[in-house]
Amino acid sequence: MISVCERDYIIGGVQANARGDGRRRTDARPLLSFELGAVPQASGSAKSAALLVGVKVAIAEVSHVGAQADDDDDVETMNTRSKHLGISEDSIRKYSDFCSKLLNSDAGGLDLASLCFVPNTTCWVIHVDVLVLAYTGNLLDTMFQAIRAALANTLIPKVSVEESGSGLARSFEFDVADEETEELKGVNDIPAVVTLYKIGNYHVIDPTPLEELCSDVQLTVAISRKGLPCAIHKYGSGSVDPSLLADMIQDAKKHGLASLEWMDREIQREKLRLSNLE
Amino acid sequence: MALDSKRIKGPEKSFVPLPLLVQSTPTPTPTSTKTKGRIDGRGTDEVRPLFATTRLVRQASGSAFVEVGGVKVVCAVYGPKPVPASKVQDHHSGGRISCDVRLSPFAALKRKQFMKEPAEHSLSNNLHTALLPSLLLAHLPKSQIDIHIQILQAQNPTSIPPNAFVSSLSLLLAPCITAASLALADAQIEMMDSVVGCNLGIYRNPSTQKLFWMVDCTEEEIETRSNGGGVWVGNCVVGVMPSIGKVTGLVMDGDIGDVGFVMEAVQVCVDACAKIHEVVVKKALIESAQAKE
Amino acid sequence: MTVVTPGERLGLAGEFFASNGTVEVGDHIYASIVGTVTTTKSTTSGELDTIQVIPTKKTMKSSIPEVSSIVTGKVLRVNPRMATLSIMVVGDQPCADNFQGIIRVQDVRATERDKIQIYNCFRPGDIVRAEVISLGDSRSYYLSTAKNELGVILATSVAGHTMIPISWEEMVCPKTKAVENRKCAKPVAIGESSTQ
Repeated sequence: MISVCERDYIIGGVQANARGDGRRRTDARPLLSFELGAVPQASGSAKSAALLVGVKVAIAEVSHVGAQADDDDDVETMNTRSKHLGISEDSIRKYSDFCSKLLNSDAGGLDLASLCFVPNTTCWVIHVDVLVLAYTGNLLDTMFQAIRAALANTLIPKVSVEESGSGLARSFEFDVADEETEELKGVNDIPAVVTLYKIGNYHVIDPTPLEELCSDVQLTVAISRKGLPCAIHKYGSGSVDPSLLADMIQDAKKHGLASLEWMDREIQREKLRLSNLE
Repeated sequence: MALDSKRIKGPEKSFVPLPLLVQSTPTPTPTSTKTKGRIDGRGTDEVRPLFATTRLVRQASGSAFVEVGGVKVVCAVYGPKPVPASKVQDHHSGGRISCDVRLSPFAALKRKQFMKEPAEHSLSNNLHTALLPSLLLAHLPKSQIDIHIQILQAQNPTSIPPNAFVSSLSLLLAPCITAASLALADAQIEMMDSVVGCNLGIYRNPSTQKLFWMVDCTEEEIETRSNGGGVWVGNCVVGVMPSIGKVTGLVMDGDIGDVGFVMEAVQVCVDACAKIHEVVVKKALIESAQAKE
Repeated sequence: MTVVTPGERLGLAGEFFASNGTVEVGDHIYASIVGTVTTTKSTTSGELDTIQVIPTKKTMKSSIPEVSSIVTGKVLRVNPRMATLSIMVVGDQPCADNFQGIIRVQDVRATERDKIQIYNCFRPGDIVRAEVISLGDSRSYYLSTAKNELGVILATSVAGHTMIPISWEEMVCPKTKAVENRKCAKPVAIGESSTQ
């Protein structure tokens, strides 16, 4: 809940290109750094001041006939204080919906085909669970960054497959290695997610929770490494003029590339730290 | 400007005469210069014939039926009625809507379990986003409007597993939006404009690597993953308020090109929605209004 | 008559006073429901003509209680602090679903508020006419009967007969002649109530 005057103040501020914390409309807050491998029992994990992401991999049968691979992301946000934090059940469902859809699509970056080791029958399923520790606004973007970091940290056991027989009698036997592991393929190509919040007639990035309450349209854009949008979803109760869309996507592009670059450095640094530990 | 009741007011914009009639004549339109024709001979910016009617479910406050290609959608609207006490959050800001999209177990080739699937949740959420901007909910404090959509026939959305989710959304969301808005208008719920949905497929020419679009893709066009000499790379579903020209819903996925191409695709959908609104939606509403008298 | 559909442009915002069934977006007035356009000339000079869209659908649109609308409902239960009503009619239009409303003890009548006992004003089963004073809390509308023409309009006695009001605070059973306490409404001629 936000009072009318507070809302007017924020909308006026955005119009004047001056936000409550001194930023301009297209300025983001300094990005939070991650700690990889914080959860030893998970296949991969990432921790920041606000989020904890755990990745677990499991072997499953392919349910769809003819499927190449099946990658299932369950993003579950568990927060006992969600009412105080201002996150609604609906938006959590929306976010997990978006994340799993993006990662499962062709544009998601991950090489899903490589996760399927017995053709058409058995594959790895990747489960991603997100725990929100503190809510500082702009949850989807930071959440996806954390998921991206956790997936970069994920190791799946090597599987050796033996094929016997031919034709209808063809059968496969597979053996999961205990020690040997490999990294996920295509982690580097996972896009960055940028959400633009339309407040009044302008849009901002990386809003605070209060600013989020003033926004009537949210445009979530995934930006690939090539700097091209690869998913655009509109949320929120308002409508948007097509002419404004172009501006929004343009800003998303700029910010998305910056975020990707920063993520690369961050993951590099963490990986170095982890290898030094060993 | 005095309103002359004897004169039928013409539309504010003019369009190519009935894009739907062009369909019945088998000659492909020469306008499709961008590509070799589509599987069903339509031009790139031609929509399929769409059938829409209202007043199908008698008990509901308003209802609509929309059929396009093999997709058949029934929508029933109930309310306004009191908000259930458990759902009340901030009643001074006006009413709320609840959307429930259901795929019939027999909608596709393979029987769907009765349990709600993620695809249905996603359809409901996207429908909610697309409808919300059009409704004047501030006039309905403390009340709720229930929108129930049953997809009777879904053109087998489960037959292409790698992208089953994407395809069901891109194929089904547009008719759901159109049907829901029609049913809301039929229920006399106040709205700024009826929302019309339209999908668009994005294809890549394998030799030149250039992207191009096709409006209102059929299941076949998405499933075969090639069309008009291109490979299917992405899709886009847009909900539009045609008179005001604003976008209420937008879902784009896949390899959708740069900003310029995205904007072109959205604009094409907006134009297609304006056509559907003028030719089908408006007519269905006027017909049902006159049938009553 | 031409029928308009939602989103149809009816005129400029400066030309008309946009009434029922229309919506102003920017500089224009659009229809917001399916119906026929009617313009009413303003009676006083200098005022804009009124434009409205009359719905074509004959079936009654279910109505929603608003602040200051007169509603009719049935008393469901009473307790020392309030009487709970199920609102069945708003103005002269029946609701599709029943809304819940409460009459708090201080809103029963305009005078001697401190002496009111709910049980001497309403009993379960009474039909009451009341005014909406607030949208209330998440459950109920807040209603008031603090006007002469508001209060119990129909009540049955313990013996099961329809009672006749004999004063502002009493009703009598025609068969047993037993007198029961109610907050009676001033009888209003049929048709008059809707104009209030």
